[in-house]
Amino acid sequence: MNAADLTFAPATEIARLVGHRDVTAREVTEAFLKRVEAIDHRLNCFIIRLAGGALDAAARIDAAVQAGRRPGPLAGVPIAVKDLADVAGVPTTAGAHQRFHTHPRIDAPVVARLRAAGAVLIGKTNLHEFAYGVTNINPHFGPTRNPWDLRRIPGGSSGGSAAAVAAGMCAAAMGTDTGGSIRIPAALCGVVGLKPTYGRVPKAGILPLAWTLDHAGPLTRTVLDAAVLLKVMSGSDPADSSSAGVDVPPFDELLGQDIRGLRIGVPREYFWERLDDEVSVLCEDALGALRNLGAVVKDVSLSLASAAGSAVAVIIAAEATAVHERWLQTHPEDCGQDLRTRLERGFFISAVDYLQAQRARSFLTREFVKMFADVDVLVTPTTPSPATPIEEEGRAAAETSLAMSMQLTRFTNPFNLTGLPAISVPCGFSAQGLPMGLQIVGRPWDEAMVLRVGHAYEQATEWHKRRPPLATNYGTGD
Amino acid sequence: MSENAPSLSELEAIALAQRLSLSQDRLLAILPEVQRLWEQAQRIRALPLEHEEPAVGFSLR
Repeated sequence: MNAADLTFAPATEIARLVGHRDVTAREVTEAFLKRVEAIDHRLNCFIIRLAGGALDAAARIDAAVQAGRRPGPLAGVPIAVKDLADVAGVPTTAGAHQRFHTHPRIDAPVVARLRAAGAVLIGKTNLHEFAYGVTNINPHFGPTRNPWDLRRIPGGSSGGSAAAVAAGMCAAAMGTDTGGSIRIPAALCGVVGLKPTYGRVPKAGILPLAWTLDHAGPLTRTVLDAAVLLKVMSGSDPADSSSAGVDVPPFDELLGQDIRGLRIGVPREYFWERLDDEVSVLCEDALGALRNLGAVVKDVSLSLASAAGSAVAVIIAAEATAVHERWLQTHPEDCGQDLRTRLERGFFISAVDYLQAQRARSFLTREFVKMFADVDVLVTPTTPSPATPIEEEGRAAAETSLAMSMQLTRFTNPFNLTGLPAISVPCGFSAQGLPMGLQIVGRPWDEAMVLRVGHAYEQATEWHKRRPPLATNYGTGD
Repeated sequence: MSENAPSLSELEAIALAQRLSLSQDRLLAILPEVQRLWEQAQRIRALPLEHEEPAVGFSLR
C-alpha cells in the first residue's frame, strides 16, 4: 500500500495492517504527518500538531506488536482530537483567545481511552470559537477550509476534525456535538459522524458549551470505523455525572446484518422541508437505496420537531453564557464578534424561560421516543444545504454566522435535546462536487441499529470512497 | 409578561437591573437575537407542559 492509499485507508484497516506487521505504526504515522505537513497550510485543520508525541506513541505500539502483545483495536491509527478536549501536557485552546487557554495535566477520559486502544494522537483540530457556531471561521486561528472546495466552510464546530479526516490527514477524529457539531461537518466534508445517546460517552475533560446538550463522538471515513471508535469511547466515568452506566455492546460485531424488513420512518414535516433541490434529490435517492435493500420506508409525523429547535435555542443560549460568564464580563473584547453576540444574548434568558425549555425537553423526548413504536430508525437529510462560501470577519460575517447556525442545525439539534443517537453518512455530491449527508436516528441506546442501517447503506453505495480533489494534487507523498 | 418581544429600552432596563455593563452599541447588536430567543420561548409555552418536570439530560420518565 503506498502512502496515498495508506492515508485514505479506514482506521480498522490500518489497525489490521499494523497488528499483522504488514506495516509499522511508525510508517503509518510518518505518512500522515507528511501529509499534514504538505497540505494543512491550505486547509488549516490543526491548531496543534503533536509529531514528536505521535512518533513516540507509534514506537510503543510497534514494540508491543513485536513483543506479541495485543496492540488494541486502534493499533497505530493516527487520530486527531478537537481542541476542546484535554490532552495531558498540551494546551487546550478551545479555538479561543490565548487568555482563555488551559494547560491540563491529564487526558480527558475519552482521549485516554482512544490512546489505550492503540490510537496515535497526531494533533488537535481547529473549531468554531468555543465550539459555539457552525462555520469554523475562527478569528484567532483562521478559518478551516472544506477539502472539497477551499473557498467554502467545512461546517462546525468540529470542522477541523471532519476536514482532516476527509483530506486524509488522520484516519479518524474525535468531535463534540451540541446542536449538530459532529454531524454537520461530517455531512459537509463527506465523512461519517456519530452523535451517540446522551450519556454514552463521558465528557469530563472537555470544555462544555451547554452541559445538557453536549455530546462527544467519532468522525471517521467508514461506518465500521465509527462503530469501533464508539466502542472504545463509550462507558461511564466517575468524573462525568451525566455519563451513564449502561452496557456497551460490541457495535462493530453487530454490523453486516441486512436491513430487510426494518421499518424506516421519514418525518416529512419539518425535516424534509425547505431543502436545497440537490439535497432533496440525493436524500430521496437514498430512501430508494434503502428500499432496494429491503427496508420498509414509510412517512411518519413528528409535528412537534420545530418546538425542539426552540427549546435548544433557549437552553444553549442560557447554558453557554453561564459557562463563559466570567470571561465575558472581564474580557469581552477578546471574543470574536459572533461569539460575543451569542454569549451576551444569553444574559437576557430568564430562569423561567430556561426551565420551561427543560420541561419541553421532557415532553418532547417522550413524544419522539413514542415514534419508535412504529419504526426502527428515522431518516432525514443531515443539513438542508451543502457547504456555503467562507465570509471574511466583520459585522456582516457575524450576522451570517448566526443565520448559518439556525439554518444548518435545523435537522440535527432536535436530537441533542432528546438525546437520541444519530449518525450522518455521505449520500452524494452536488453538481459542484460538494458532499451531502443522510442522518439516521435511533432509539435511546440503540446506536447498534443506527450503525447497522448506516453500514448497509454505505455498502450499497460508493460515496464514501471518493477523495477530495485536493487529495490527488497535493502531498500524497509518493 | 409582555406579549411583545423586548424593545431596546426594555433591554436597557434589564441590563441595568442585572448590573450588566453593556454599551448601547452592544445592546443594539444583540437586540435581534434577544427578540428571536423571546419568540422561541413563547413557542415553547404553546406546548402542553402542565405535568412536566424539567429534565437536564436524557430521560424516559
